Amino acid sequence: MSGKVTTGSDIGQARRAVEQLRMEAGIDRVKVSKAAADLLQFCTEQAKSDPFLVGIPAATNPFKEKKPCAIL
Amino acid sequence: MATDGLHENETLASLKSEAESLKGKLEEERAKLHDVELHQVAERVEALGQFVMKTRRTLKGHGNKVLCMDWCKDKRRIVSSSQDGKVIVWDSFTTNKILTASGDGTCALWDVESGQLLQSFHGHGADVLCLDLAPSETGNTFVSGGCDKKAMVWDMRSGQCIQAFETHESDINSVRYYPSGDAFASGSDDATCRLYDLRADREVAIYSKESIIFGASSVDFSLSGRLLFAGYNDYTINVWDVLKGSRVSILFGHENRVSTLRVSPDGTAFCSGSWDHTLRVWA
Repeated sequence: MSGKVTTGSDIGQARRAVEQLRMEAGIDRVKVSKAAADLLQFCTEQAKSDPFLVGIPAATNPFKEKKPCAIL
Repeated sequence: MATDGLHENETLASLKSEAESLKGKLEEERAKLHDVELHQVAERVEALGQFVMKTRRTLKGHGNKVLCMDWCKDKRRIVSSSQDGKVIVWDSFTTNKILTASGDGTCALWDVESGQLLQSFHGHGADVLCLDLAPSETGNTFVSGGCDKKAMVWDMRSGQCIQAFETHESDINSVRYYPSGDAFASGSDDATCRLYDLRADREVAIYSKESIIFGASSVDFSLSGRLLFAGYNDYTINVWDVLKGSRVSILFGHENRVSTLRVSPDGTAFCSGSWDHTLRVWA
């Protein structure tokens, strides 16, 4: 008769998994509509300081090529 | 027969079935709050304009694959590195500690001076490929991603996993916190990037296209979190509108896999590293 021997560590591991899942299932959550609205708000507030969205003048951007001509 | 404290009515089988039913309950609880999609809420946000980004610098000199890089705080210099088995992050406040992720499936927090292990984090079922520290304002947590397709959020002090997400269909190569700390993005071999909101405790967006079939290796946000830059194994970089879920730009230039990508600290540019032995700065 074969049967898997249930070792103490299998039980321990399984019990820990159940405890962890129980904890995760019980946490407080907010609705996606609320969470999404907060993400939107953050983006909108920060947008003005995001150089990729706002752009910075080529003259002050260290990565853009400096134009060879100067206005006299 | 010694069993480590088997309680009455408790068997391995019953514990496993309770674990399964708890997983189902977790999904149910998350689904209850899934009242809307992020991109629907984002419909009222103005669309983004055209983006013009191109390679401004090509840094040649490496003799082998570029795997990992970051910007220096002085915003001008870029540090890059080659082969290593681990991912290493410096905690920016107490630079005496290092947080590492390993192929042995765990993460660890070390004290550099003494070499002592301060905390270890167990829970991934396979190699841990990536991790990211939460922005300092949001406390002592970090997120890790692994070959077990799971992204896990950890409390650094207790070593406990706080939240876990398993929606990717393959290895997670890269994880990065959203600038506010309330969410994080992931890039995976399943050719998608995803956004997980920590307070809603679920995935809230998927960034994918049928035409994108190669894995995403590295992701990072622009300063406001509106843009997600992602490097892929098909040599391209896709730029995603985080809120609307659409792609705003695709960038060509690398001649092999893009393996690493980081936005500069002041947000004016980002750098990509590749198996083609070069790094490119995009602005």
